[in-house]
Amino acid sequence: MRLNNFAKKVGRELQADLAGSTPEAWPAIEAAVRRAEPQAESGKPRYGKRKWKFAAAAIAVAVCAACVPLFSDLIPVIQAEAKTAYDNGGRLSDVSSEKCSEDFIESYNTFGLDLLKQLDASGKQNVFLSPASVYLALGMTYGGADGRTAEGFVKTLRLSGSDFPKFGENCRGLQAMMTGDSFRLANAIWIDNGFRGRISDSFLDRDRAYFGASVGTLRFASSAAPKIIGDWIRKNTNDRIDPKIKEFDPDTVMLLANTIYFKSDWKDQFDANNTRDDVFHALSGDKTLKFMHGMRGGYFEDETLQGIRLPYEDGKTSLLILLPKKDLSGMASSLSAEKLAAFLRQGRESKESAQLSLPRVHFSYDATLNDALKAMGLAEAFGGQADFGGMLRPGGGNLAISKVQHMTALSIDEKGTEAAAATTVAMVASAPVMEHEMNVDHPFFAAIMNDESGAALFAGVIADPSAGE
Amino acid sequence: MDDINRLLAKAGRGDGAALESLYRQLGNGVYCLALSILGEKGAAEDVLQETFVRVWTMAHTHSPGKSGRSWILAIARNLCLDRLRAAQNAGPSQEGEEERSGSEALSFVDNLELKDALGKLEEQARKIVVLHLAAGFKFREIAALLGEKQSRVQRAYYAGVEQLSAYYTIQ
Repeated sequence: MRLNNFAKKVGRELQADLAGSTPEAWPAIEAAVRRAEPQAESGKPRYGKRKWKFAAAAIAVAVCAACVPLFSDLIPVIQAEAKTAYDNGGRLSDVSSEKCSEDFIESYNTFGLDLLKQLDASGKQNVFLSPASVYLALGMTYGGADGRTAEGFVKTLRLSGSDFPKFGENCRGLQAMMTGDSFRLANAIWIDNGFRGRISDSFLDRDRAYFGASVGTLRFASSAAPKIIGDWIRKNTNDRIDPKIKEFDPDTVMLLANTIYFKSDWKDQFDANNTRDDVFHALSGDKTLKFMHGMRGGYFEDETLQGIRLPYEDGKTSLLILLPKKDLSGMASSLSAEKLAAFLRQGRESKESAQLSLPRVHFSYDATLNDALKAMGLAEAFGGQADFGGMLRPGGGNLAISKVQHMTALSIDEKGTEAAAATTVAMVASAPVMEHEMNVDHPFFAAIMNDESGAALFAGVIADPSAGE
Repeated sequence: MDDINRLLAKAGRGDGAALESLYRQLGNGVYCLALSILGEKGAAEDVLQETFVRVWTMAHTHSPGKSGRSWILAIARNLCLDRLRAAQNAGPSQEGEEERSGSEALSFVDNLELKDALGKLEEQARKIVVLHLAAGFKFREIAALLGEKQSRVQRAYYAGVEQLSAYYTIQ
């Protein structure tokens, strides 16, 4: 009897460990059986037309954890057709030429700026977001919301209507901005082994179709679960994001995640020989930092700020820097999607140059977005009244969001963004006539922008450029 | 017809959802079996994938009167044995790799004390204990998979658990 009880306890522990450690092989099996072409089903493909390729990579991460009791069963997974192609790790590998509507970009940028203001744009501390990452993670969650909870998403995401297919198409367009060698993007949904049977097929199909989300199962209570998800995030962010998840809330049954990684050289690199120590006037006190120097075009200014647009080598993305003439909080609080679009346009059309002094930047940022999102209209999604009926099969209970976590990392140096080495491209010997000076020596606003649409893919206020060193 | 046989029949007719259900039900066990036999995580994952691809292409050949679960586990075991044979035929292992085989058989065990205690068991006893307790295999299934008599498997299991309880105290 004693031995039986001992064996049962050991068995429970081993079964939990095994469930948590068994690799999620289904995507690879699925890809292989498609190639295996077994007994075809009346001429109709069993799986969609998506391509499944392996790639790699990521910089920002937004995670939504939904909580409820456990259950046990299995569901079939049907692949939805999608114009956008992802590999079986949920990573975007190709995309059709879909574009976002102009009103969507405005509502998207409004969402990003409002979230930034909620978090603290005072310039006392670094706050750097990827609105795109938060938006896509919330977008996947919105796909399963019903009733007033869905209305909360419409309000929070600053949408003009509740047409989900239209929203999904626009999200594809947003993802299409992040293709090419300089970007890596991935979406994934993890479901607890015991909860799998309660998740609706149509919810998974929707998120696969619009977000290419890979779906995996694991046991959140297992000590292996934090490592599995941590590894996925590290792998897709080129190790720039280390989520340091120790354990999950024991009630966690689903996790929706997005990662974005960006790395590109400047179109016009800074000469490392011109980098020298200078003082950055942070609100917490002066700091001596390495400042890069160079003459750059794309300069503009008005009575409240100096601005400059620094294009990347990828030809479609640029860094927009807005340096307040007075305080950052006043400038940031007055920023709107319309103004941001106007500043980007000024930067693109500007014929003026400035002798730019820009500090090297290296830091990471980590924030729980619950309170900010609740204040923006998503409160119901976090509470007992939440309605995620669209995620569940009939009688599947209910779900609520427990935590939305966001992490970013940013490095700017002479070579570009996230480049470790210094230098290379020499400045032209015939220096242009100096018309302006722009010394980014106090807290500033920075955004990595898609040039064509004007979408801010990353945006934030930088109070201490060296916080990560 | 039990659930596994029903799913196998559907997979044999080209139902991808049925194949995924089979994978969800038996994937852990197949991985555990492969890890026990091969002792390498990467190889075990390969076998896990290959097993269900093989199930997909062969499901229509499964006889409905026979246990589908045993049939799938036998595919996994045979794939493991094929790998071991291929490794033996490949000649001597490279320097520094002699000790690799079997070193990851317990890699899925999170509790270090339990892992240490399991590691002290004789290899065959350890396989039997792990396959029964972790993967939930029945003694007759383990006997068939390891080519042992069921009575010997049961004896080895009870001796193994007795030994394990001496090494490891549950907190």
